[in-house]
Amino acid sequence: MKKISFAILFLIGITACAQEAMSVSEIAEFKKDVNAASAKITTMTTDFTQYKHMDFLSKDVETSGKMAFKEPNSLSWQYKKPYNYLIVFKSGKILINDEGKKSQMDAKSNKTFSKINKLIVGSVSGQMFDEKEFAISYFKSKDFNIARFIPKDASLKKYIKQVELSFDKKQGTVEQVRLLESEKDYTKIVFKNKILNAKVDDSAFSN
Amino acid sequence: MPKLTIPLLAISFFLVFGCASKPKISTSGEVVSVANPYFSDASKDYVYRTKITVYGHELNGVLIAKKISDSIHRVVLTTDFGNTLLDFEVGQTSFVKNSIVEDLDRKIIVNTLRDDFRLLFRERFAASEIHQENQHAYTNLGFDDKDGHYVLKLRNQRLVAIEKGSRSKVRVVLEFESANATVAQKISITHHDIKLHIGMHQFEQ
Repeated sequence: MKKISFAILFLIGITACAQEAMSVSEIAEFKKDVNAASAKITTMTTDFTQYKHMDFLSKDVETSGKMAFKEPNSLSWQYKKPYNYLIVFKSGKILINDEGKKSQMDAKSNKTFSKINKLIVGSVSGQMFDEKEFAISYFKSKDFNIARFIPKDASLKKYIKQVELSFDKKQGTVEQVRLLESEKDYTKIVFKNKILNAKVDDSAFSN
Repeated sequence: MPKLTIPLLAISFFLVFGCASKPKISTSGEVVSVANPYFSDASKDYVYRTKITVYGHELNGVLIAKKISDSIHRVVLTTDFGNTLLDFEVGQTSFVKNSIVEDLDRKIIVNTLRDDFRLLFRERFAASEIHQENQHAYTNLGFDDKDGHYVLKLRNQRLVAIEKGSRSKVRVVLEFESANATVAQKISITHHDIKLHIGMHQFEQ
């Protein structure tokens, strides 16, 4: 029995090597850095590539597009490849343009929806450190500081089991988002060509 | 404009009668094997942007299908953000529900989708009735099994539609648009007894 648990511990040790847990003081410093970085963000535009990874597929399903964010909570998420689909989160509303077909809905009326809304905006801005909403754990890898969020709310947890944000070590901004569904299946979103605090027109947040 | 009306009317009459007339049975007693090639390559991930319209409600997402064994396809429907909405393993005689979000977990939804996927992934059909519709270059092949009556429509030897229902009423129609006869770029699943339509466009990755 002991042998088996040692073997398990050893395996856990190996997998954890790539991502080392942060110490209490590192967590405090990391949170301070991220909060300072996100406090400076008034706008953000970036390209993104989304990889849906499932263990049984021969390759990841890839989609890509552009994202724009404006303080306090306007977010435009636009898929351009391989199809056009725009979703805008703005003042409690969700606006959609699906290949030219426009629609909108009220996110405020639906508790789960507004939490998902908050989570998506938080994932991009880095302002997600709400211990009431999430069980949060902190790690560091060679390239990133990583925070893992497990929703506490049961209705939210049905849709999102775990979110992992990877932060640039110097900038303190989100570089990658991973939505984990199981050990093997996840969606990874990688940001690139990020531009901070440039003028973003309000028209970016309409459908 | 009035000049156009008469020929148009004539054409539409012609079409109505053309469709209404019973196709001629050219062969009987012979069994013809028809293959559905569109989901048969086990090395391929079949990925489609998918729109499900049910009683006026629309659900957008990405449908991913893969043949995981000789008789089973795994099919996953995700949102645009990648969240898995459902994950089924569908065989002609087997079915496993790996996961489904609570809002969709209704017996009628699960069973309807299971049956649609079963028909979509079915690779072999043995048809005993052959109807030629030379006028439109179509061949219709009909057969019955315990689940009902089927009509397979072939155009220039290529599978373009599968109808399922009874002899008197079509309940569901699957239509395929394919440029190369191995992958369908567009698929449409239309139900006639319930207000459900599934439209699929292949991903250009």
